[in-house]
Amino acid sequence: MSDPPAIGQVIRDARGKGIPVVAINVKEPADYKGAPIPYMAYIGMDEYEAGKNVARFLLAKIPQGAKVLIAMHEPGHVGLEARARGIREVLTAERGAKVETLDTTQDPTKSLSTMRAFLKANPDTKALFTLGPLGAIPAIKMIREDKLAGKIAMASFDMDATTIQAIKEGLVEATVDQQQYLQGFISVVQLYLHAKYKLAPTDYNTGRGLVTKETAATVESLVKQGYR
Amino acid sequence: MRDVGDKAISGGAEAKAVKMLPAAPPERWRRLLAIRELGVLIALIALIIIFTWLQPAFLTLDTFGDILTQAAELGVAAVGVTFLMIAGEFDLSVGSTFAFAGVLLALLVTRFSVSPFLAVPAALLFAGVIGLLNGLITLATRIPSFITTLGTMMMWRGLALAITGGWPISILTASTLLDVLGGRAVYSTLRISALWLLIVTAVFWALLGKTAYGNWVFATGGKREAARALGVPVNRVKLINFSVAGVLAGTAGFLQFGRMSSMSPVWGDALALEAIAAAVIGGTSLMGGSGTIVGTILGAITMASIRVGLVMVGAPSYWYTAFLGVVIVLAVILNVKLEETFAWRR
Repeated sequence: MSDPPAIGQVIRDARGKGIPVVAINVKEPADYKGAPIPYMAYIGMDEYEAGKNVARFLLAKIPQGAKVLIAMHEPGHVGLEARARGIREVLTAERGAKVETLDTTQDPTKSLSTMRAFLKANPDTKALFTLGPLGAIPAIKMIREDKLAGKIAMASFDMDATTIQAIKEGLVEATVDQQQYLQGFISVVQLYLHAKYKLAPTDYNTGRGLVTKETAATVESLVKQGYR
Repeated sequence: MRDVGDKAISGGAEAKAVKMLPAAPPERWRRLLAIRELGVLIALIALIIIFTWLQPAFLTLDTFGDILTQAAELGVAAVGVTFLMIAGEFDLSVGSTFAFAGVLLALLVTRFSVSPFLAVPAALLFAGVIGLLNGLITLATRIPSFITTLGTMMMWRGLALAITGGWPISILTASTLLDVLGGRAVYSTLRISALWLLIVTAVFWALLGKTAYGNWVFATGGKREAARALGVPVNRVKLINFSVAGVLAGTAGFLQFGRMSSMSPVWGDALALEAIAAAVIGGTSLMGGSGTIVGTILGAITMASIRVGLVMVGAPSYWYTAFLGVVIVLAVILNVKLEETFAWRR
């Protein structure tokens, strides 16, 4: 649904002919104002909820009133800003944390030195959130080089080789897994139940999945087998 | 200081400046003011003073190691861009060459297990061919290089995305190749990539300032017809410089790959414009015919200092890019004013 004008009419036509439609992976943008797109349910990650979820997971490592850094690699990106907003709201409400969002750019070298500069100016920072591999790769590099594991708790989004490896080594606490496999599987199940028993498809948030040190190795082998 | 081209362009200002300055300053001042890199040097020193005043932790070796590492990748690519700009052409595709060559190297050594001794020259050669193609298309069709390389910028970026599926390629184990390219720390936060920058700077500084080829480059970007009449092979010079821009963009990509142990097809996105900005801050003319390598490096260091400095003084993060823009414009104004006021320095 990332391009409503391109796909909206096709879905309206399909629904007009009585074909059931569910959306997966990407919802229409929050600021979309065109004609409604009549899909029956959305099965995928809710960016904002996922941000809240990962922030709650890291709460145990974040003391009251702590300083927290969010590395934003693409300011203005609707999905990333929603992730950051979820994190910020939970940490402010639960810990009275001072959450700073830093524009780290997509350039990893700039990203690393801006994060390092931030930590130098704010040595009391207790946690670091990156919003995807483009933020995680330089952040993990920094944690490794400056031996920050144990001093700064880090969490991220999405699964790439570097992030999974860092979780296994204990440099990163967790990463949010969108669970694309679940998106494909649940949508088919829901459409089957609809066809067979007229059960209406319902929204399904797949972004509750977190990969942690306990699950990283298993998830990695399942990725290799093509299940994840 | 060599200038073939822009004398004619700023001739009026020069005449006015001469009237304003009836007596030239004493010899010692003259020599200082004649340094082409003076503008960027003043800007850089001023920034360092301001940032240190606001945040004493700015003035540490750690910070400068980080700034130099950041400036290394930009600087290496910007040297190529400067070399080409002096010859009167642009390359907007350097960021895509950076990504494509980096991704190519990463794929060769990971997926195809090619020896780095073979993979590095091969990927570098490919980067050179990308540059050469830019030159051939530009010269054969007489399309402005601005447009040619705008097209090839999209093409190579797209291909980099296509062959990787958009995901970064990572090396997760210790690797000598990565260490040599940019992984290893020389001292504190100073990376080996800063040494590569030093080598590239020295080579191209010498090439531009100390050889006949350097004279050809200035002549090609200056008065092209005059250069041709004097027997300078204008087209060959341009083709060589387009290829150099490609090779150095690829080299910068390798440095980032070494630094991060990963290479993403989206990296180097802002590189072309930042490289041009570094060159222009350092006193290179957009019209061709004048510029210096050292100025460009100082320009790259200035840009890296601004970003790190603003974070350290606690400026609101989403404002950085705006600040950076203002500083670029101010630095260029300073350059132009120095040029006008001390026109005799040519």
